[in-house]
Amino acid sequence: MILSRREKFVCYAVTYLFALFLLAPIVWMLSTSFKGQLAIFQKPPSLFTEFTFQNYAAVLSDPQFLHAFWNSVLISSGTVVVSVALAVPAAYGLSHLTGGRRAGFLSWVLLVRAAPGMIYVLPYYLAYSQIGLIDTRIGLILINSVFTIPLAIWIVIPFFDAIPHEIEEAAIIDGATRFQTMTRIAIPLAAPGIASTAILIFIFAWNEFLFALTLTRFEARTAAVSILSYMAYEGTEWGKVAAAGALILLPVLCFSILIRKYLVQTTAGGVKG
Amino acid sequence: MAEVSLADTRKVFGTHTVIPELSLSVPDGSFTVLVGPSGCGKSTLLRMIAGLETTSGGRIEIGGRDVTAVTPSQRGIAMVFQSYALYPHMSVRDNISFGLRLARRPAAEIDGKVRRAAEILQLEPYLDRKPAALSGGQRQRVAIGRAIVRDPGVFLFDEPLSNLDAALRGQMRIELLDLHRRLGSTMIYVTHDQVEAMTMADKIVVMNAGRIEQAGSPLDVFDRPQSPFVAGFIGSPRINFFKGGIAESRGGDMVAVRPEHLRIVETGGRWRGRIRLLEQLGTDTLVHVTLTDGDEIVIRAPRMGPELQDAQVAIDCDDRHFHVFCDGQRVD
Repeated sequence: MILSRREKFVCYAVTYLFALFLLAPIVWMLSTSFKGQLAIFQKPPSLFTEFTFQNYAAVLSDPQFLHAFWNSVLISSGTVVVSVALAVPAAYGLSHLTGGRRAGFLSWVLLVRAAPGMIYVLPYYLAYSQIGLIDTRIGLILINSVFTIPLAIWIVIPFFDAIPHEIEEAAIIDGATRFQTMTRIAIPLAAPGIASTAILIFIFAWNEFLFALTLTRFEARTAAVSILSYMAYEGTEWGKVAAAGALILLPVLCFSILIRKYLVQTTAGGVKG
Repeated sequence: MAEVSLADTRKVFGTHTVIPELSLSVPDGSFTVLVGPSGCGKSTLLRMIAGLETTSGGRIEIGGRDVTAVTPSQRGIAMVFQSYALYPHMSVRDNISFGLRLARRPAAEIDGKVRRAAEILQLEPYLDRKPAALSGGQRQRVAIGRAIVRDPGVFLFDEPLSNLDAALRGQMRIELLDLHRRLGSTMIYVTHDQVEAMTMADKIVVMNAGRIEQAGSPLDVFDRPQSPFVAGFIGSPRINFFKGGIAESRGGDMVAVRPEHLRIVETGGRWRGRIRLLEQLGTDTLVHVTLTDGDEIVIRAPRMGPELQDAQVAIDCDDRHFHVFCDGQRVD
């Protein structure tokens, strides 16, 4: 479709306005993170009146934030490991099912994912209280996985579906068991999709707030929740909130860039096509 | 090396019978070609021999051993797929050696077998490349190499050349025949291309709708087709069929004559018609004629000039070249 100059202008204008709408809070956060307390409340507000690392220094020397940040790393990584370990074989199995059974099972899987998180809070809180999983990293990993496994199954299945069945049959004739066919043929071929899924799971777990807020106190508190400690009764330390927010955003940014790299990888050459 | 025999083998998908009770014997060391139109069940039959499809009934023996319920890797077979089915993430060397590595064979044995296969198939310069960096012909050679290192009793080929261009297909046909002569293994080859079947086979099995229409040597099937289907399927251009008085006078309901056995004559002749089209093949000319009764026939004649287009001609053939059929069966 060829657009006139006027149409192009309108398209670009709408795109940039939308991008501004999305990015404005992030720009404000980054700007605030480099300001002193006085500059933050300066009127009229200005994006770059002062440039200081004092907020980052304060946050990075706060043992509570560092503990929470480390929790986030462990919980997010743990969620990735548990989810990928369970979702990939499940997706491989479902990819080999056909007809109504597959569609039915996938619908149930999606239902778990589509249910609002609040539904799970109370039963999990009560169950976790009974079995000692409140305020534990493993507790958060488990409940995060409840939500990420269905997501992972749905994302990974098309990557397995795309593997020509002759390749797996060739492996079976070569003497591979079904498990070896999965681990040595299908998983390496679906690796770009699995890697992307792992990154999405990490981002989901990293950003997860509801369960981290309701099922933890201090020991397993995550970075996203720990920001609340800078919003105290005595007043909000906006500089620290912004610096902590920027630090939390950093891994998400890095992983988002990585996803693009994995998704463009192909598995060309195995079959005629 | 091994003989393959199928006894009353059946395959049913749901309510659809793909192969109704079929028996076949593939001699040890032969190059047997299963040929037939798309959907006739030839690939399904090959996959049943490979163990990739279960049988709904009957018995499959390889080398005298009942393998009906045996896993593919334990049947002593190797299979080459139409789409190559190489492992894209592995090098040529790893593709060829995958089965041996799974079987935990000693490294020296693996290396020796890979080198031998690479030498036979002229793949030595490409051993460290990935399949994506190979041409179609090279990829198909890798697939054959993967089969060779298994030292199978039976090689199964599922339309292995149909993805190659015409020139490469001709070359690979010769290479496969050389390989058969060199290894002496039993080879079962599926194709829908009757030229491939005629040129490669020791034994042709013509299939139609899941049944064997005829099995025999290529020349036997060509010279003495047992049914109108076989007569029409084997031979290019297609055989000419005639019904009516000429068939009835020979005790059948249909006769067939190959295009090369028809000739244009100046006087007499059994049929008359108008030349509709001339196809120049260089050595011969295919003459398409519309007969006076409206039927279309093809004659393979010595070179004829374009000035004969639309000419009225008389056509004849020797009595010995008639194939007579009655109720779908050959009448001798």
